[in-house]
Amino acid sequence: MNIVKGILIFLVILFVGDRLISFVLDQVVSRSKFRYVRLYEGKMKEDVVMIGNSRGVNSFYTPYLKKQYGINAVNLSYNGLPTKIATTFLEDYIEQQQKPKAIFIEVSSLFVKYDFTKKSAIQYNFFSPYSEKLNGMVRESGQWTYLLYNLFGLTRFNSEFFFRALAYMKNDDATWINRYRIKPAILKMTEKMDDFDVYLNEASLQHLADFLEYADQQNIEVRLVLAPYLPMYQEKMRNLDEVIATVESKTNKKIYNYSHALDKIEYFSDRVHTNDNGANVLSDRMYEDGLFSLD
Amino acid sequence: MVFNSIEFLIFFAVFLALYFAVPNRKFRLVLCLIGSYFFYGWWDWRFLSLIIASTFVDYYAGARIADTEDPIQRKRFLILSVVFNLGLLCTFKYLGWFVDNFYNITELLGVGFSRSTLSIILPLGISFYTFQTMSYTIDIYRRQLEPERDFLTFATYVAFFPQLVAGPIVRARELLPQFKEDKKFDANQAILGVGLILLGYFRKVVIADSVAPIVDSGFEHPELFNSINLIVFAFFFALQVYCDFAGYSDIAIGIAKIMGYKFPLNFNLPFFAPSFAEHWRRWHMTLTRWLRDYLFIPLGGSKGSNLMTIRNVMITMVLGGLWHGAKWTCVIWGALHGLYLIGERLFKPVNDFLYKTLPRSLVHWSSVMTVFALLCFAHMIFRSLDMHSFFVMAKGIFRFDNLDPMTIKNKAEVFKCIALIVLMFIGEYISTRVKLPELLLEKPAFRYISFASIVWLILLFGTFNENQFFYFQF
Repeated sequence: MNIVKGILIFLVILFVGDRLISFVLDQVVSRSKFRYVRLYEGKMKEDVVMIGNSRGVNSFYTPYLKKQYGINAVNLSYNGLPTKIATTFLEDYIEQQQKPKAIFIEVSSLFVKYDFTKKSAIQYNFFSPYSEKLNGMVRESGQWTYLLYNLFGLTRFNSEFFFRALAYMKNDDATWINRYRIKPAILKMTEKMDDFDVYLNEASLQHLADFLEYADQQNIEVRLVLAPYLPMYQEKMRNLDEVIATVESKTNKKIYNYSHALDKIEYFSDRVHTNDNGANVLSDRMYEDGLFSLD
Repeated sequence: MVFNSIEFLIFFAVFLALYFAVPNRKFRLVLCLIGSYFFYGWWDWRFLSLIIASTFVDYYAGARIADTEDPIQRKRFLILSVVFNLGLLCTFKYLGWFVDNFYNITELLGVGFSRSTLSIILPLGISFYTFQTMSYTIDIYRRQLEPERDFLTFATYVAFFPQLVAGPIVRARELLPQFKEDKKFDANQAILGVGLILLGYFRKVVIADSVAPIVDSGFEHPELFNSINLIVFAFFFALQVYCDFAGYSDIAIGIAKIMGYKFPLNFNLPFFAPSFAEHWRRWHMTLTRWLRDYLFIPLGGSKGSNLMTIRNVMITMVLGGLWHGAKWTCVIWGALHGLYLIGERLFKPVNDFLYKTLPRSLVHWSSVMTVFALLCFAHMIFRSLDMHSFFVMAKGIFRFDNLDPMTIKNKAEVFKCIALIVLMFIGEYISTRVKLPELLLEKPAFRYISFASIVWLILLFGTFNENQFFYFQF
């Protein structure tokens, strides 16, 4: 009898504590200036929304666009962001905020062979109270996981997003920019690499096509962009042009191809990511090409 | 089946309910054996045959050794057991490595052989159960143990699931008598067992699995990182191995405790050791004990001349390194530990002098930190893909090109892990100052809050991807 009583007391403490700590953490992060918290707290009023995976994070530098060209943009890119989740963020933005004038999508998440949507949906569980769609994805990611996540509120905070939200309690994360310079070792490794074929993930392409259709119904202009690669690396891609053509024909959308736009190694932090210099030059190019003419 | 999986939790819950429901010891043993085979077979049922073969051979050899007074016969059956177990190990663990080295040597000598790669699956836990069963026959040979005449008891001893795949290596004389006892549920033991299991999960899923991806990225391409990053990788790997393995041992000991069994301690704050000898007395204690009793002491131990002691230490540590993996990096790792132990022995007068002349706590904590730094360095060899990769890493660290913590990649994750590691060390340190088991048993409020806090930490910081335990590969 004592054992049963002991177990019950423990469970009560465990669950009450779990809810209490979750509540406190929720209150704390709701004050964060982290971009996704701002998104789901309804605090975004930007005209332009930019999104992509880590190449989007590093290539789109919104403070420079604002300072140089007066463009009011937000970058919702995230490292390893799968297309399906990126388009879900965009749909939530459209439905929960004012409609943006334009959306820029960096398309290299289409080239990722393994579809991380299911695996990474758990990370995005942090936002599931605010997004029915993300909540649905967590449900699809696994029965046990969903059960655990519903049972314990704290699991929602077991996410990189939570810790980033804490890190940006005072400062806006938009000012972050990659300031690394490419290392000679990476250049050497790239030089030794064999040529390779770029993979096109059909499932991701379908998600993108579906979103474009949705955005079209909402009368929102979407621009597809391919950010720069280190030239030495880009040369190794045998079929990049064919892949771009396939994406364009499937989506009926032109891809603004900047994959070879930056020719100096000083613009890169590694072979697939630009640094601050590269991001600024890319912004200038995009502006010169009229991509930001929104009216 | 891994301890950090849903399957295991379900298995253990069902097993435990049946375990305490069955009416007598015999049924309980049958259940333990079936449960253990099921636990192991869940990974790959084919390799159960090896465990069963090992059980039969050692049961037979043990009985025959005990049944005769003829020294030649006794030796013959001991050799049968040792050759069989080492044969299993050599075939499944070392054969591929031997063949590779053979090709390398013939290539060096200019003799042309066309290479063919052997791909042999390493059976889970083979290094543990072979050592365990070998100790059984050796102890009987030494007349330190009576053979187990009940086959069911012996088979359960060999396959007992809490320690089957990654130890602790429990001696027959410690475990076999426990199988003779009638086990009843003991609430106090269960409480302590649950505490250990929670602590083990904390070490494994909160620390080891969180640092694992950071460590992997660093050791894969050490040439891409500056000194501070490489130092972080080396530090994290030492902690990863510790938390992974100590975590597994805690869970194993905790499970056994709930079932009413007592396993020996396997880790006792090894990173607080002020010397290498002390470190090895606290790290993977059951393996250290095995190597000491069945290798180091039979070689002559430290009783002979200094030169002989050095030889014995080196042989023991090199073979200990080889036990960890069929790789040259493991052999060199073992040899380096041998050198550490020898160096420490040679510099003992200096150390004693420092303890006499300087404040004791200053020398103690400086020693702890020095030992820890050198252990991290040795672990770098252990984890490196090959020696070239190790040299790249070591060169990168000692270049001291950039020690700015702000240049650490993945800073948020790294700092989070450091905070959790510090929290664990504080907990470990406190555990040396207070009597934790008594507190847990006598103060229910402390028990509830501490257990709940560990669960909250696991929920908040754990990595739930059922990563294998590091020592499974050994």
